[in-house]
Amino acid sequence: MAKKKSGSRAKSSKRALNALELAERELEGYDSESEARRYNSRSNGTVVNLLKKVQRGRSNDNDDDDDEENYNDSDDSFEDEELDSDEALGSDDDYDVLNSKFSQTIRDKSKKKMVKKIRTTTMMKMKMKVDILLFDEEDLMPLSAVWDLDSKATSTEQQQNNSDNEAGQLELQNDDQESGMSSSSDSSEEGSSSSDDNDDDEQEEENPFDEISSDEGDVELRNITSALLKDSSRINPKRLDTYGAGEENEFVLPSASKTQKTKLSLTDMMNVIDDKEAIADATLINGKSTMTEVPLPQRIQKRHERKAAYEISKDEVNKWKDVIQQNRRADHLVFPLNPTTEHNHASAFTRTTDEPKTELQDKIDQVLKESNLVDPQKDSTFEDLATAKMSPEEMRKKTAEVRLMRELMFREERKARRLKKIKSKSYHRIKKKELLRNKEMAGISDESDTELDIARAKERMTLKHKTNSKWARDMIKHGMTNDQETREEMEEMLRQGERLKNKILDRDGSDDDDENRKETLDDFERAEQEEENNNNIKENVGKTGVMNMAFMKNAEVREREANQETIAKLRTMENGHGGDLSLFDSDNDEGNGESVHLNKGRRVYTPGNLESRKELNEIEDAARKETEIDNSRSLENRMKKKNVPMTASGLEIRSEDDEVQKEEENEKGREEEKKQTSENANPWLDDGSDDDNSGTIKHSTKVHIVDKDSSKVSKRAQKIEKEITKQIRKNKTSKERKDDELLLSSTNNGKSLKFVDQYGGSDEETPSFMFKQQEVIVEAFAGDDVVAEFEDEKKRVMEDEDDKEEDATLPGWGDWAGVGANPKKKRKFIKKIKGVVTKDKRKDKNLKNVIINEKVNKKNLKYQSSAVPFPYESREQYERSLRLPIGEQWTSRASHQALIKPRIMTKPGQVIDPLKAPFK
Amino acid sequence: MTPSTNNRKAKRAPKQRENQSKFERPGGNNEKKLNYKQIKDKKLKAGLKKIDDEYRHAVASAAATEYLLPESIGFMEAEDEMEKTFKVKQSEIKSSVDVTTANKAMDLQLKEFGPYNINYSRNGTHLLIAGRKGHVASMDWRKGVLRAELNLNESCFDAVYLQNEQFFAVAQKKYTFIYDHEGVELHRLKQHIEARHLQFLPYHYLLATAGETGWLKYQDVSTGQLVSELRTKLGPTTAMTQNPWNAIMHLGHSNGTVSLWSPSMPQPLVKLLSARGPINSIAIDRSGYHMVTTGADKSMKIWDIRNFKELHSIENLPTPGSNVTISDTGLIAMSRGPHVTLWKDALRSNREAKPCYGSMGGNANRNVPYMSHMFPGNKINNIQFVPFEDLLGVGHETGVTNLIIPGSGEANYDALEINPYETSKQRQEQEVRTLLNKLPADTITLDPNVIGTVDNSASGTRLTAKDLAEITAQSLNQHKENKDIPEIKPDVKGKNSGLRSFLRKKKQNVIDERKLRVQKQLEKEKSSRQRNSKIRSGEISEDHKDLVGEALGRFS
Repeated sequence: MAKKKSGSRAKSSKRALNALELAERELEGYDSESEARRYNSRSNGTVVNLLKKVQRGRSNDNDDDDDEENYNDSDDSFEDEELDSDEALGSDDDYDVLNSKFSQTIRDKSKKKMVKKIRTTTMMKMKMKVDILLFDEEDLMPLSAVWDLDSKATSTEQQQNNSDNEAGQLELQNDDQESGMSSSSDSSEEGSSSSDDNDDDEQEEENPFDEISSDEGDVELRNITSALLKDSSRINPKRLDTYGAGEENEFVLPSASKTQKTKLSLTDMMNVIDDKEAIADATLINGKSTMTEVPLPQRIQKRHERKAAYEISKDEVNKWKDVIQQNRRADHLVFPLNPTTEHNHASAFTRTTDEPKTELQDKIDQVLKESNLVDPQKDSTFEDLATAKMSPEEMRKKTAEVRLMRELMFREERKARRLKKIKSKSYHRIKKKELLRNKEMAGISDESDTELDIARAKERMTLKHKTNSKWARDMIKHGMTNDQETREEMEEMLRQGERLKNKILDRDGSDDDDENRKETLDDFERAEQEEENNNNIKENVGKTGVMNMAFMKNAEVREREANQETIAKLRTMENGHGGDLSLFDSDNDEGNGESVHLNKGRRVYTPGNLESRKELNEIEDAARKETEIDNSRSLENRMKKKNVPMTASGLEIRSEDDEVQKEEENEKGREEEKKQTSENANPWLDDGSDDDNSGTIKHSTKVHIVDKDSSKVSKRAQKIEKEITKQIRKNKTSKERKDDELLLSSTNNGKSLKFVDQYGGSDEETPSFMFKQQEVIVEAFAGDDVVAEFEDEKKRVMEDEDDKEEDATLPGWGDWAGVGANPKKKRKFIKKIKGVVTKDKRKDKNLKNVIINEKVNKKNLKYQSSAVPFPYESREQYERSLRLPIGEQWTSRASHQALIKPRIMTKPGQVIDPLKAPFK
Repeated sequence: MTPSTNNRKAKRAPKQRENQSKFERPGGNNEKKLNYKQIKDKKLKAGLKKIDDEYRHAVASAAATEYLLPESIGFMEAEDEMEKTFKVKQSEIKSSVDVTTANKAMDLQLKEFGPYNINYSRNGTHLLIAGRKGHVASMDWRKGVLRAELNLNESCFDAVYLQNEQFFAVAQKKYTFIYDHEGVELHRLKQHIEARHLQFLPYHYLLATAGETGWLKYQDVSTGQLVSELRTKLGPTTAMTQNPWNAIMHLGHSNGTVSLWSPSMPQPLVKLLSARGPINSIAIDRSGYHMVTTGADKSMKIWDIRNFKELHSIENLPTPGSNVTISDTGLIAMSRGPHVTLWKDALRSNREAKPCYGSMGGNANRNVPYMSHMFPGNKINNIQFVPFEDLLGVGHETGVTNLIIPGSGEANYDALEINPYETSKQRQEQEVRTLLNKLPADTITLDPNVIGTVDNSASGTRLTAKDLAEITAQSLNQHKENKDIPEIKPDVKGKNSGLRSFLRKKKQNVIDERKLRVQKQLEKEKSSRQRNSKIRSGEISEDHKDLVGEALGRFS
């Protein structure tokens, strides 16, 4: 075991085995002698030990004590270690492992201590085996030394011998087993042959050292050992002062030589011994020893042993802990765990070795080289690349350099681009002007025709330029024109409108409107005069033809008169008379044979009149608009006035307000009408107008600002409107209930129903046909009130599925009967029957036209878990784990394969070795 | 020595993509996060974290693969505001598209056998037409190969392909029949009487029929069992369609309600009032989010059937819409009389998405029709989008026509799911696979995601030992009180005997020898029973002989 250093474990173990064998042989062979020997050892052992020490001390007298102590200390420590390992050695299984550890510890120590260790280990072995044997062996060597001492005590040569002897001793102790007990016993009997024995020993000893040297070629070791030997010779051991102090005489007994007092006592001898361990062991000598204690009961002993064994095995198993944990935590394990990676170099286009293997390859290589097709990059391995040879710092430096270069280049480029763009202001100005001039010369407008068209269409659609847009009307109505912004916007609109008008009429923008009109009027008058002249001429020229007939003439006259009238009116308007529209109104009345009051009375349908009236209305509307435009033109003035509310012309403001109010009222009336129609309309019989208004009641978005400043009229209007809205709301609520009535009323409504398919075009059915169909539909569903029915059903279901209370009271139950009983006591037994869901917890509680069945589908229950399954703690956790489907239809290929990858993968036919200890 | 650990753990958190929300699943990351700190069990925590990690990676990778889809949907677009797509005529489109597409816009003129019902197979390869007057034909319409043609001499109302084009069912005057690809009659489904609407649930192998009787019947096509019969109690069914997401049947009734049915529930799961007159047609989009109904009251309503809210309601169609359908890309096609009108983006919830006709209050952003077509002097009977094609199949009085509707078809098909170019071998394998993956009929629920989850009535947390003990104690108590066994009912002997039922079965007016024997036997039994009872009550003794009876018996 001591020769672990040699590195050949096998040998050492063999040696250890040899030692064991020898020990056994001793036990067997010297059984008979053992008693006597033991006695001898007991009596002589101390002496022998002593002698040994003396001898050692003699060999190196001069040395100081410190060295010695060090020596001892080191010894002690080693012994401790060995003890541990020896204990561990108790278990055969661990032999190897421990060996290895042991060897490591040994290797860690300096070589100087090597030799000492050798000695101590051998000693330990002895102890381990049999105590008696140890004594025997200890006897052997010192005895021989004693003999030596006696024979050649003083000679210097002997000293030499001694030193040799000690070396021999050291070596011998290594291999005392080998040297054999016989020789040692011989030596004890025959003192003369001891030197020979020693020689023999030395010879024998040479073998292990040879082995060592052959193994390691260890010349150094030799040197060191020799040096050590010298050292040891220099060490001076303690001396026994009293010993041999008396007169030296052949016949004198050492103890009784001089005085009785100086009797050699055991304690004296003990004091000399350096080996503390030995002192401690010598319990008999100390007198401290008591009787060996009664051994523990076997089961307790066993228990202790088990405990110790458990500790050992636990330590052993704990070493595996990390590996096991890692494997357990791993998502996937591939067996065998560490497959040797096989790099498949032998592909068609790459080659592992540079040397071509075959002749053909050689040839191909040559051809490739000649045709310059070999890619040097491909051939060069990573190590060959220039960058690989660089140190990391160099590499960093280089990359930084490259980066800087790139950055600089980029900046330069950008700068250049910017410079290219920069041109002076004047340059741009000149260029722009040039462009414009060119365009003008070529007669090209900025925009393309289609674009212009679109813009124009947009303008037309949006009617942005007129004050009769809804927004503008609202603004004016609510006096929002006081606001600076809105006024500006409005002005902008008007200006735009003017521009457009100019565009349409192809007038020059610089012309004044009024002038224009004057001119036109003047022109008109002039033309008329000319016509008159012509008429005169006509009259003079001929009196035949249709034109000269009486009715034609009359008509002509009438026309002329009318024209003149209009001219007169226009004139008056021009001159600034206020009542502008009233004139036209009267015109209206005159023009139509009958008067139709809006919103009042019965409607009269005269188809012939209707169209003409329509036309008239249109004209009127147009005129109205025109005046409005005019008004709005004066709007600016108005707004200015409004900014100063109470000026001198307060009256005027009032009147205007009234006007606005009137308009409002009219509108309201119209809206009301509309609402009424939409109210009255049967859901089946809507008028086919496609807008939202028909389906749902349009809530007015107007904002009425009524404050103390506003007029009485406006306040009143406000009140009326409120009432109307209230009514509407009321109607709305009762609307569904009164479906039937509505159906009836809609037919009696008297309003003509017009069905136009805006979308379908002319291919539609004729209105009359449609009307018929409507009637049919009305008839078909006259009795149906599906909405109410549905509501009823929902209510019924709600009640059915709600919790119910049942009165289970039995009259007289539990009461006393007969005379004198008190029957007044009333008990109520109410049984609560749990329903499906309570009313307020229904899913369809807030859903209109929906009944959701809340009953549990019992057939589905088998596909549900009745409780949260084990590893999960709550429903959320569990359902979270179900969230991701594994199937390939629902996930990408990569994630599907990752999800279905088995935890443990083995290749069929491959041998899977057991786990190897990773901690060796 | 390191075992191969999962590489994904080492990976960083996956990149967030723009289209990621499309691939999130209900209960996904965007919903509330689990509080990991509350979980004390380390193993569980690690497991849940792993699950979350996997989920995130799966979503990210799914989002990452989207750009691999080779095709994209292309709608027709107007060049400027003045141009309207609905003004474009079919002839114009036909002249401008490539030849193959133009060829696909076929027009079958079949004037004899009256309004035609059409059905395209799920992969769009085959077309099944059924004329009201009994003309049924199945064809590979792209190749122009006629697979089967029948003249049934009986009115046919609906025809539908089953799991593939090899079988089809036809709803005839009284019964529903199943034919094979050559037109051989395989089955007469005698339980499906007077069916007017047929639907096939491909993942459950169920044929659902509804019609004049007001019964909804499910027949398992693979086993031949009648899975369930549900009585609607709402009169004749006027419309029927399936929700492709959860296989729920939507039936339209003459009182304007739409009812939702699952074969495992005898009552409708949901009832909606969607019109004030009979429902004419129902359509549900592919994802099962939206339902469109048209009623005889000229209304068209769009519902969000995830939460049963009405999105849009158009009350004033010029004439009642007769048919409605939704394409894979979300186009709504509605037919009324001779017109077909399509809207794009009408399934969105904002106000401007509401489909409309013509001007509509001058709103510039209104949802005008995407396309329109008219069959002059004709009437449309049935419309269906052709799967994976930009075509709308229209069955009308005088035949079948395919209209080209750009952007109506799903551009990318999943050949593992439905393969429009499948070979016969693939078809066979697909059939086997779908049969193996067939879902039981009772898995059909309104929300299919509940399958596998914890029952709502169960407690939300895992039961502790204490709870378990309580439960066991309860069950023990139950045992003590004998509540776990059914109540004893007095054993009343049934009145039916074999002879009686035989008599009942036989027609009343047919009297044959066997019947006489049975009658005699019954009488004998009856008299002996009476006699026995009399003996028991002590009226007569055991050896009593009715002398009078005996005396007169000779005359009988």
